Amino acid sequence: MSVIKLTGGRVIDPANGINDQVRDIYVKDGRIVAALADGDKVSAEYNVSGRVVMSGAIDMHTHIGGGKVNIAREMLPEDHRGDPVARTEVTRSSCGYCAPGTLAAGYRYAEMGYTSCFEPAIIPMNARQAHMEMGDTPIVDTGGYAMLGSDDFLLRMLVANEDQKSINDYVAWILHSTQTLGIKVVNPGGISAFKFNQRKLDLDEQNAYYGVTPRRIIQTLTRAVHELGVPHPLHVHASNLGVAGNVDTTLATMEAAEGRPIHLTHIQFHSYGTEGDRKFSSGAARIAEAINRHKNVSADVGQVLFGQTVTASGDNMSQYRNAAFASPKKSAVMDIEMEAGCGVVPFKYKDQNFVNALQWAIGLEIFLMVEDPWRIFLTTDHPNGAPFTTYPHLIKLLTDRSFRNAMLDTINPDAKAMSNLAALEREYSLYEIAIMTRAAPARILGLTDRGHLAPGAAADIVVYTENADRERMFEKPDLVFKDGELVVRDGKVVKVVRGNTHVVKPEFDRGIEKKIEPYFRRFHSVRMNNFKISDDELCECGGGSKLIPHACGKRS
Amino acid sequence: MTNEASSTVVTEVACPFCGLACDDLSVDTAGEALAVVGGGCAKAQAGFARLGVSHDGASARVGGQPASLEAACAEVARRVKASAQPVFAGMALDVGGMREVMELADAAGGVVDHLYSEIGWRSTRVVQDVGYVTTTLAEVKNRADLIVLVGTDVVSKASRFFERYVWNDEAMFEPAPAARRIVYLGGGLNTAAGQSPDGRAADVFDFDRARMPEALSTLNALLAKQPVSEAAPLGIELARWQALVEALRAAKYSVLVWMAGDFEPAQVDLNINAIMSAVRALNVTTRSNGLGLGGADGELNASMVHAWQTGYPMRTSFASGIPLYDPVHNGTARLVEQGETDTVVWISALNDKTPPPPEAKVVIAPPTLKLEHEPEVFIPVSTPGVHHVGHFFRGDKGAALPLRALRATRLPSAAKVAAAITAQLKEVSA
Amino acid sequence: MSALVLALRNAPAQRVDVGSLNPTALAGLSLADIAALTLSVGKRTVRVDDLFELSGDDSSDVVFRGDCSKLERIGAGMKSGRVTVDGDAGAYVGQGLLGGDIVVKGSAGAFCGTGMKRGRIEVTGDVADFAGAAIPGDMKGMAGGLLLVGGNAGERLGDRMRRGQILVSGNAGDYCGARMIAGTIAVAGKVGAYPGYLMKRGTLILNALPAQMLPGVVDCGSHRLGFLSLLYASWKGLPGPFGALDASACTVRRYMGDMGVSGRGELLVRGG
Repeated sequence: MSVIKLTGGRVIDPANGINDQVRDIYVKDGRIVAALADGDKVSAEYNVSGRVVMSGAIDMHTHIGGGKVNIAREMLPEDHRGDPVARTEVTRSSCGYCAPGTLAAGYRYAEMGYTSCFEPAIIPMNARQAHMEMGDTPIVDTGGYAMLGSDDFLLRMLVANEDQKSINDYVAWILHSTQTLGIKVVNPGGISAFKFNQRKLDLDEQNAYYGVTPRRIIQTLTRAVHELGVPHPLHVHASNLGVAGNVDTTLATMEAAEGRPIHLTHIQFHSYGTEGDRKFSSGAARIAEAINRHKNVSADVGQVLFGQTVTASGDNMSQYRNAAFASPKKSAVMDIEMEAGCGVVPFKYKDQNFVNALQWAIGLEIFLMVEDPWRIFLTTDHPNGAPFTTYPHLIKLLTDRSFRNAMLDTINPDAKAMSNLAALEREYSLYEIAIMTRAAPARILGLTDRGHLAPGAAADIVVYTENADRERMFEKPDLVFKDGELVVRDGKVVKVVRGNTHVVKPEFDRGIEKKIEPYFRRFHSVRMNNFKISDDELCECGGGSKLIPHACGKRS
Repeated sequence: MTNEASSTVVTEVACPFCGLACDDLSVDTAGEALAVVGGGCAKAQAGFARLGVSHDGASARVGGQPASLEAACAEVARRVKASAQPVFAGMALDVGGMREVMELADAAGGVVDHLYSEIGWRSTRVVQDVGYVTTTLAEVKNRADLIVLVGTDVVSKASRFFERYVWNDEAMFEPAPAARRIVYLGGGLNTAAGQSPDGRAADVFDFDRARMPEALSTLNALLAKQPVSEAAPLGIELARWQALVEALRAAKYSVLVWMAGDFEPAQVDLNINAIMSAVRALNVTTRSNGLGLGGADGELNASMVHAWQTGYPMRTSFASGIPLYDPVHNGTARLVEQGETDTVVWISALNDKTPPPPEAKVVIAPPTLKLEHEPEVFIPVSTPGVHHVGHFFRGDKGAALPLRALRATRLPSAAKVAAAITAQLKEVSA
Repeated sequence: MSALVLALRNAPAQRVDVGSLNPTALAGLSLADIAALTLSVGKRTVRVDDLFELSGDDSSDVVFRGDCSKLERIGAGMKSGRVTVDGDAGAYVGQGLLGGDIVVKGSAGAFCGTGMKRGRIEVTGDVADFAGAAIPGDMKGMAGGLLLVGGNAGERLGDRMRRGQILVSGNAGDYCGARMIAGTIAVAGKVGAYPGYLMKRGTLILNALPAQMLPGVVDCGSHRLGFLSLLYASWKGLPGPFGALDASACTVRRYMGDMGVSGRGELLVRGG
């Protein structure tokens, strides 16, 4: 039995309404407890008085595993050469900056105080690979969202006007079979449309073969996810990614949810207007206003930060188009297994480029104009807007107006003139940062024992020395505990542990397999039984990860 | 997954003996050796029969003498530790085996090299140099209307390609599979499988395959509506080349298939690069995709795991404490020839036919592997998909298949052996 | 001051990255500082003076002695100064060179001059495959400067070359100028199969075409190209046959290709 005491820290725990209160925290066998029982002996005490204590941070949208990420790694040896992670007594060697190896990613996340990371785009057929890569991402907990919406099985169900219950059963079956935590839709129906040589697909435009519109896919899947009681709302990468004027599509996509919960991901890339000489402008104000008004809508930002990165997406329709802007000039685009696709395009965001600079400003505008920090999430859509290692810098931009304005003064002046960023006075508080990086992601994913510090919570705990320079503060925590084990000290990994895998297992009628099994035999490349990932197999993929299923409260 | 409780036949078995990883095999476990009784091909039948025995009596050997597994692992650890530059070669492994060997190679400061990396690195160069537009087997099965096999017949290495993915009873979209058009670029290929079920022969451009650059240069020039220097490139009249170009333009979903190992080694990346030029040109107006097939002997298990753990594709050296990517110079044959390695550790759980280089001092392989020289240490291991569960990446990168345990054995897996050596190595170091 | 001589005590068994031992990187360091720098030899980390016997004191003029065929990245990234190898050198000689001179009095390994931007590399013997070519993943090979080869070049000479000049006195291997983007390659001897495969732009100056040519490389007739006389004049005095060309002999047979990938590369066969 191990008992740990963190003494005298300034606890910031928004899930429990605690804002900077001095409290002692007790950890017993990996869990936070209210107090010690008789006979408990403290095996390690840490005096953290004066220091800031938060739960471990949670990245709810980061591309850390699966086929497209591995393509990005293979594609970019030049990315890795300058960014090695050396072997030590406790860690293995790895490398990479914007497309790091899983080992480097896990160490770096932990060293920044992150203890859970979620891969948002798992192609069902590729779920094994995603889980294997996440299993080789040390220290952090992982999980993922399965991609639906361009899979031929669902599109055929829609064409056949199958009832919602059957669709719910299929969606639940996918969650079980792929061992995932939520459902993602990427360019709804657009990946399928690209295979039929359509090059764009608006919200109310029909797939050339199926006649199905993206709106119908969103309606159907938001309803399925809601009725199944999956905690995380449908995770939507909307139509027209990156296209000037897509703000209208994004606003209409919110409406398409018909009041049901919907999460719009990397919304910065979907908030573009067509004003100005260059027909590219900020739609942030309209987006923020809509989010503020629609309580069923949440979003993560997908902030752009300047420098070299690589964009990796399931949206092969958009990525084929974006390949023209690749830097360096190479790109990989794939159609995948009658389910989805992917596109990998390296990209360099330049602060003197008008469009890139305005993208940077748009992301920050959204952060600052959305009022409720429980519904806006801190992401760069790693690595699409920037690598996750830029998070401390992003936190500084959000918490320090003078720093932000100083940066604004350095970007492309035309972009600066098109942005209202200078007028936005808001500075995020530490409490709000803790909401958007801990409490809110745990809540929106249904992770009841993460993202907070109340008794019963997993002891994922981070201790920081407060520093007015928030970038310095957040890039190097003093202590990080994962499930009660000290894994990072002074910003360096001191112990490597294996994280858990979070999944949901909604109830459903297994009779749906009578429809799925023959479909696999007729049209797929594998048998249905070889597609499904069992609990035992998941643990093997995860290299021994513990499976944590989260409850679903069925709503139909 | 058995038909009934009493049956000894296991169905829907995935096969680890070539890159297609067919998962519709029925394997009878009743006899002394495993018997493929449904699905499969000659290679699968031979593989399950040869490796699918319990290997009772196989023992580790040190210096030719029987040794315990623990003693043998300790001896390997000692040799690896003492080595100036160990090389871990062979690598015909499942995902689990590769994961453990990677940890061992890192701890040992070794170089990692797969059987096929000499071709593989050139193939990987294409995604590093220009990228690609590709598809996967289920898409081919349902969408392909024109399939061009570039310098390969596929079936010589992956015999069920046409059976499983081309001449199907039905496809989800037009055209019906039987109406698919098949074109071979290159002579000396087994083109029988490309004949349609209704007897249409494939269109064969017959030429010396070492001259593939001429064919691809011709196609790309014609696709770009540019002249070519000859009236009959490769002795084939220009009209036929032009007709092929028109067919590619008219196709809704053409697929250009290659197997990197079937190209001249020096041409691999250039030829695939040229194929990608054609595919990109076609995608301006229609859909066209490349399909590179490979993956035999766990080639992709090795390369995928290597890439996700380290960031780099193969071949990498861990000698200096960080991964250093130099696929040109880290080949086993070159390292041996140049005297840069003193210790080759051959690890292969899926392949018991390719002999290790004579310099291999340590061989970790199925006991059925025939050795010309007795190595200093030999450790027999079980085979994934035969003796133990595991995972296998299919050659199109479209799927990782689960492998089954069909036959009990006392032999350890390669993963277990690698982990034991790593543990010993750390003890030696401590 | 005399040249800083790094004489190998014994030829190492493994490849050693000695890119850091160049005049730019060593500027301002004392002999003792240099001696204490570390290098990786296989799994071992060794001091520079474990591997080399050091003498001399002018670190702007570095001389490698002994069997240097395992020494990699000699002179990599240096901005000025001079590096001399008395014998064969390993791979990546002058990688990313920004200025100065490298002389190899012997042969050099693969990727000689890859990514060099300025400066000059002279190899009196042969260069292995991929001289002036891009390493995997790099978008360009040689990007400027001059690479002189006294002997023969291997395959893929100038692959993805972006700028600069490569002059080969002997023969060049297959796929010379493959995927070339710009720059000039001149070969005095024979070239192997398929020069200009996937070549976009740039210039190959040859004395004869090989038997194996690509259909996408097209004969554009005989021309007298004035720029050649300027080019030849600029080479005057260089070692090898290109230093002694008749600047007025600038009639060539001009071939363009590779037609499928823009087709603006030119193969100029001297004598027309």
